[in-house]
Amino acid sequence: MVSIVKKIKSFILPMRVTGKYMVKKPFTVMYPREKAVVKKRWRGLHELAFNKCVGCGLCRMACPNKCIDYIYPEGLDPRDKKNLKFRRPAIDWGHCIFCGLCVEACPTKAWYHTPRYKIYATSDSRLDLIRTPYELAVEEDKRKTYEDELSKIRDLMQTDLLEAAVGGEWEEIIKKLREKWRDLWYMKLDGKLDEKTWDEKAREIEKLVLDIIKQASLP
Amino acid sequence: MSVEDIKNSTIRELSAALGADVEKRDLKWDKYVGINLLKPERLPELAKVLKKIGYAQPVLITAIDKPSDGVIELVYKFNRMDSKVMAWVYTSVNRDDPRIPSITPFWRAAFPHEIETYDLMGVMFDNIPDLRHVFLPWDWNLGFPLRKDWDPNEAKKYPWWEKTREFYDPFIIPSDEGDDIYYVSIGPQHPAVHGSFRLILKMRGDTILEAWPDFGWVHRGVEKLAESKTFDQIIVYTDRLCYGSSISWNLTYSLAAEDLLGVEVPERALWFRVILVEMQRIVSHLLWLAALMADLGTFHSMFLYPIREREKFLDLFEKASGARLTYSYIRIGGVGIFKHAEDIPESWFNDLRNVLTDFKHKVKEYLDMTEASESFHIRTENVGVLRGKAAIEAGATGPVLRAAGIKYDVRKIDPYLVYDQLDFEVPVGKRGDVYDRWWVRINEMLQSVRIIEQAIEEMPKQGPLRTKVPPAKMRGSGEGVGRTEDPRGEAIIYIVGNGRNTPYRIHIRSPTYINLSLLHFLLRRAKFADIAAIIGSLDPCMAEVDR
Amino acid sequence: MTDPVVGIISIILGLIGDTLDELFELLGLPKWLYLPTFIAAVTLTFLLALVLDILFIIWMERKVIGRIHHRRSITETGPVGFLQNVADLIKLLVKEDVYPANADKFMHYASPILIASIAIIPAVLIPYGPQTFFMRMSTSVVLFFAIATLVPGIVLLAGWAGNSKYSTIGAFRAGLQLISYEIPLSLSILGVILMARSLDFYRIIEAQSNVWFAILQPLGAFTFFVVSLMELERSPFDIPEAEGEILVGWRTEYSGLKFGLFYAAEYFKFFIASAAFTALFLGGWHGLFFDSVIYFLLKMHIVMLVMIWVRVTFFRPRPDQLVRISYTKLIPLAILNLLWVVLINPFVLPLLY
Repeated sequence: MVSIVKKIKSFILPMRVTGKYMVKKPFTVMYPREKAVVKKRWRGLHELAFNKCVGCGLCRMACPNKCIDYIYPEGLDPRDKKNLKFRRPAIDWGHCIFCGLCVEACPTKAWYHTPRYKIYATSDSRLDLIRTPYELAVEEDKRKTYEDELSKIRDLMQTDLLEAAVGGEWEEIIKKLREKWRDLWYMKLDGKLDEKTWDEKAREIEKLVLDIIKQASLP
Repeated sequence: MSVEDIKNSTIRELSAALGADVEKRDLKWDKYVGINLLKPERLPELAKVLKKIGYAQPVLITAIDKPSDGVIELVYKFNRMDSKVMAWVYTSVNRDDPRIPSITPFWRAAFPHEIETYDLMGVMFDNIPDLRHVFLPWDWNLGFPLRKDWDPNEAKKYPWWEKTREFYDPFIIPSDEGDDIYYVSIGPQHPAVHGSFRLILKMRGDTILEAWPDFGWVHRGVEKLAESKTFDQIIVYTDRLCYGSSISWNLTYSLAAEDLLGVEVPERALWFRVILVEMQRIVSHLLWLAALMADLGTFHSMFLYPIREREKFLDLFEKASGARLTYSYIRIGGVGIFKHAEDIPESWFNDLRNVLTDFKHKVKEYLDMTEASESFHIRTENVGVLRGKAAIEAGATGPVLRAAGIKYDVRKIDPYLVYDQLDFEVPVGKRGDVYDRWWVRINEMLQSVRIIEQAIEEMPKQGPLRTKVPPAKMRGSGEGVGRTEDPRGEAIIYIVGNGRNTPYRIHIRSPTYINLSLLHFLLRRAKFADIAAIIGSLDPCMAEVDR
Repeated sequence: MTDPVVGIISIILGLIGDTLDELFELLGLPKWLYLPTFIAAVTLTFLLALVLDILFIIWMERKVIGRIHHRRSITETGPVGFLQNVADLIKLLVKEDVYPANADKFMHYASPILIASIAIIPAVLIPYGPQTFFMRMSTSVVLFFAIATLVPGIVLLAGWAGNSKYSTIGAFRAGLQLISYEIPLSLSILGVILMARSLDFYRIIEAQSNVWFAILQPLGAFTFFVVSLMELERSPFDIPEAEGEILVGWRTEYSGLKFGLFYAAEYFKFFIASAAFTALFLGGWHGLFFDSVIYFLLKMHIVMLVMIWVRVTFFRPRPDQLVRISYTKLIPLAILNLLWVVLINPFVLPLLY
């Protein structure tokens, strides 16, 4: 008798559980329409407080994936120790694993995570996911820092530092590339460039980069 | 017997048996006994003595390449089922012709460790039944990656793409085996294998005659990569060792690194670590439950219920650490990420209590779906039996060993963190079949709930969570070891430093790798349909197996 | 009271007839062509109705399973996701046709067509209402199950044709399943036949005008229900296509339209099995106040709902356990039911008809 009761139970109990959920409200969220709630501490896309950053290089050292690199204002020689303080971090979100080590390493609290999580590339190139320090900068201090940086760069461009940096065939290519980027960058900062032409020009430069990579791997 | 007694008797017995070929080696831990073996060819004799005096398993075998001395140092660690004492045997073999007798013929548990050491470090084990590449391709002859002088560019010479086809071809099929025997290759992509590994089955009718697991499909070389990273950076690799139990591996690594670097951890962090690790145990077991149930049928309803509860725990992790899967939350020196997730968020404990209460109700529902249902019993009972001494002998670990009736839990045997101050039980099975493994894990979840509830009460309410270690002090020499009870079994991370800010050698003992190598035994005489149940009951995590 | 559905059906038939009349007059077609054309038109109309119903069943299944999984199921295409199945159908139709290099090409292409066409035949043998049926014959129950038995044979061929080990294992599992459910199936309907004293579905349904056979012989109903789940090869008895073990078994090598035909056959079988259960045990068209096709369809869809519910609840047994369950549990149950029928038969006679 006990075994018969057990047998009947073995049919009824599981059916009861599934039957209960048949009439319950679903647990899931209709994602694009209902907003997915991300917690306050979510280690999402980074932002950089431009005026706090001192260019110390600790975040680059802390990064386990080597996706942070420093960008010098155009025309500055990276090998010159004097220019160290002008560099700012750029990040490749395509390689970033959002571990938070750069945020932890930053001595001036310039880096921080935002709860934003959407990231996408619009072309096949991974270059789309690289963010320059200007793009990383927080909205409010963006404009001011742009102007400061611009005037600084323009001062520096008067000097012949750029000429000192180049020499030889290899250097020629880098110089050409730099100039292209610089021109483009200025145009964008001044608002003369719309998105479409910016994309086209960026594509051109990308091709150039590929050429360089090809040449570099030949010998 | 006390720890001292066991240590003394070990040394005494070994000296009696091997004379001047062994000498005591001073270790920085009191609980482990160190032994130098001067003649590596006498290793089997030593192992036989250790086995006789109660050492249960060779729990870790690793090799450290020392080109400056011209030797490869081998480290054997033997554990006991009744005490926290481990015997660490050090021996050195010539680097040019590294040969050492194997202990596999009489101690099967050594097998996965030995072939791994051969695979990556090139130590030849004499008399081993089946010495082959396990993570590298079977016809690899481009050197041994973990050696210090190995050039990573060597790997580019391997014809990866041309080989692919040949690799998928059936296993060597002898022609004279008769018509009724056939071979089936399961994986590397198959729903039953939970990741990517391959099983080659020799079958007659619906019965498996023999099975060979084939690993290494997602091998990333974490141990080699970690040698080029600083101690703080390695934590992100431990996140990715297993998608199911990141925090547990964070902890194991942090314990090892703290051991090596001599870092003190604040009291409050110890308690918080316990909470996090036990939450991770629940999460990992829920994922395992979901996967096993999906393999056994029910058209994914029992797959989605545990996943739903897991989601609630992941929300809690997200709230505290800022990530849902790769937390990097337990760090060297404590818990937390400076400047981003420093202290525990407010109301986190309240949320945790609510989730736990809800979870306990949900476990009853799981029992209604499984325990009460006869269809579950017939699929799991007396399937994949591994019981008692045979389980120790074969090298089983974690819930698989406990289901076999052996009460062995690192949290009880060798308590780390504050586990000695907590009151919990170790569930132990009887028959050692799939059903018992299920039963043990379900009860472990309930015990974890109990531990968390205690820890919430007893945890200090105020205080720091992490001591700051300046990067300049993140360099150490000597050895460090972290030994924890991972959700999947006994996990050990062994670090050797040489005074730099990167480790000289780091070895990760993956419990799943050990357990999956049992498949050779478990699948013998099983039915084809049992494969899913047996593999599922071992809780495989291929990212952790291949490392 | 007469069945209101009969009126609708006769209107439809009349419409078809009228249209054909006018067409023949317009085009001047020969008279002998009229009857075949009429039959074809009627068949197509009812097939269309069947396909619409199956679209509804698939929608119901996806929705119910989704709810049991505690999630939302299809929601996007059409109202409450109803058009998702149509979209899936279109996707299957336009997919590239792929067949394995070493497959038996003839069998590979023939088996989907065979299976879909054979699986639908038993539908004509079931009377859906007192006046709504395709044919009446004195041995319709025997013919019904004879045709239903053919399907696993074609499954065997289909799995064999794929020339893959997984497919072959799946195919042989289908064969195994066939031999394990055939006997309890016959035994469980034997009770019904004994009680109704007929092999005709129509007579069996008529016999249940006062009380359903499910109430008179619950054991038989239970056995038949379990056995029809086995015949349908649906979870928990989806052994030939066990997803976690042999991928989808005998269907592994079939894609696109061929998969679509298998899928359709699965739902034809689903439709027919629940219709058979309704006819044999749930009193067919009998209901409150009047007899109608509506009752038949309602009961049939409730049976389907229960089958879907069972599908997401129980674990899949092993092939050898399936044979054991069937030989040591279901056959004794069916025989017990038979004894019970013999015992109570004299007393229930006044209740019937």
